[in-house]
Amino acid sequence: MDYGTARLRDCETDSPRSPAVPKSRSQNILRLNFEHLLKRGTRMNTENEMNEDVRQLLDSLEEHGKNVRRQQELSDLIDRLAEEEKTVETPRKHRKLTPLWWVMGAAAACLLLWLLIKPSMKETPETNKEILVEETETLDSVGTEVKEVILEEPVIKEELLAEETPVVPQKSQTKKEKPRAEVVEEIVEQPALAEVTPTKNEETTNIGSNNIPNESETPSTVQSPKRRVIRSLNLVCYECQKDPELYTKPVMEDKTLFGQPQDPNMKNGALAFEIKLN
Amino acid sequence: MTTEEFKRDILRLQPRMQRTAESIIGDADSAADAVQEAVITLWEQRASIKSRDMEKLSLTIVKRRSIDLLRKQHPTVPIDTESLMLAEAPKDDSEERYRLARQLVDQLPQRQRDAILMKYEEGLSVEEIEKATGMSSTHVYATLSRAYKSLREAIKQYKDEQS
Repeated sequence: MDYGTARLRDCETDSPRSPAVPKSRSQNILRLNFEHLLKRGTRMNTENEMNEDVRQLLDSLEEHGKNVRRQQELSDLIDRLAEEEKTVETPRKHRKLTPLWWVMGAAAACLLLWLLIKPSMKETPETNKEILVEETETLDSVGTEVKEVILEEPVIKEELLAEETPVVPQKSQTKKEKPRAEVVEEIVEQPALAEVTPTKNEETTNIGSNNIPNESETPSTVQSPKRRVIRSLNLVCYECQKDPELYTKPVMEDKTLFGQPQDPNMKNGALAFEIKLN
Repeated sequence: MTTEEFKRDILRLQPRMQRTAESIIGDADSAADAVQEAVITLWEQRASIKSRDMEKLSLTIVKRRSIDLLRKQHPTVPIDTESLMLAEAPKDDSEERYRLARQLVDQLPQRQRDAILMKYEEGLSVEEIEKATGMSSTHVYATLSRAYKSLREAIKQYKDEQS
């Protein structure tokens, strides 16, 4: 190194042998190349200074350093794996336990409240009284309605009705209206209804069980298919009732598709009849 | 087996695992990859591993991973798996050599010792040493050169003492 730099210095300084001529461009390039080679040479010299023993010693140092770094990497890897395992485990526990406890607690509280409130509700006499009063009121109103309707029923003989209304209820109707008949029975069993005894009027005749009030006047539940048919043929005419001469009996010459006699005045299921008025 | 126990065993066995993988693959970096994969496998199975079986199991897994990597690197070359599995890791005297090297390096002057340890043990480049120490590159090279010279003399002196 010293030798090289000395030579470089020799080149740079103006020696008495070398004339003081201005440095050309080619000379400058040569000088730069020489400096580069000089630097490279110094590095090679330093490498060569190391003999085999020194090299082995430094290799062992290097190997140890690498092993330490690898161990550190492995340690970090294990820590990361442990952290990942923890982060995966903890939310699972929360998901399992927290909602269950909340739901179970809320359900238990609701059940307890319901059990506590239910018997006290039953035992209150005021509420029972109110319910009874409401029931009797409704039953009375139904009873009076029935009474009024029955009083207004026309006079029709049962035999005539049976002959003239051979109507078989359709399956769909029976299916739909079956529960209605059950309701009727229930209502009949009520004590309030039992009290309603149809008072027979001298001028009118009760047709008995087939006597059903109009739909607009009575609750729709108190109806059966047979009764409805009868109601459709309910030929009520108070004028006729008062004066039978005014009433003209319908002619039953025509027959229906089923071979039954039909009134020519029957239109759309309703029997039109003429009333001889003045 | 807890995490700490597992880590302790793995770090104890790491040099041997590394050497075993290196003896099969022939490349230090690929061997390190094989060791990492083996450690992950061991971690997943650690619940069923007893501490006394750790050494055998870890070496077996490392050998298998190394053979797998070797197959990936050289898919056309036939590999004698049985002989590779039976091969033992070369004996290791690296600890002794390192102890001696460290002993000799510690005798160097402070600046030379720092430069040698940074370059070789910590694996820093000359530019990184420049930044760490604040020295110029020329100064770093000069320091290292002087350190080599000192080490050569120290080794010579050590050999003389031993003989």
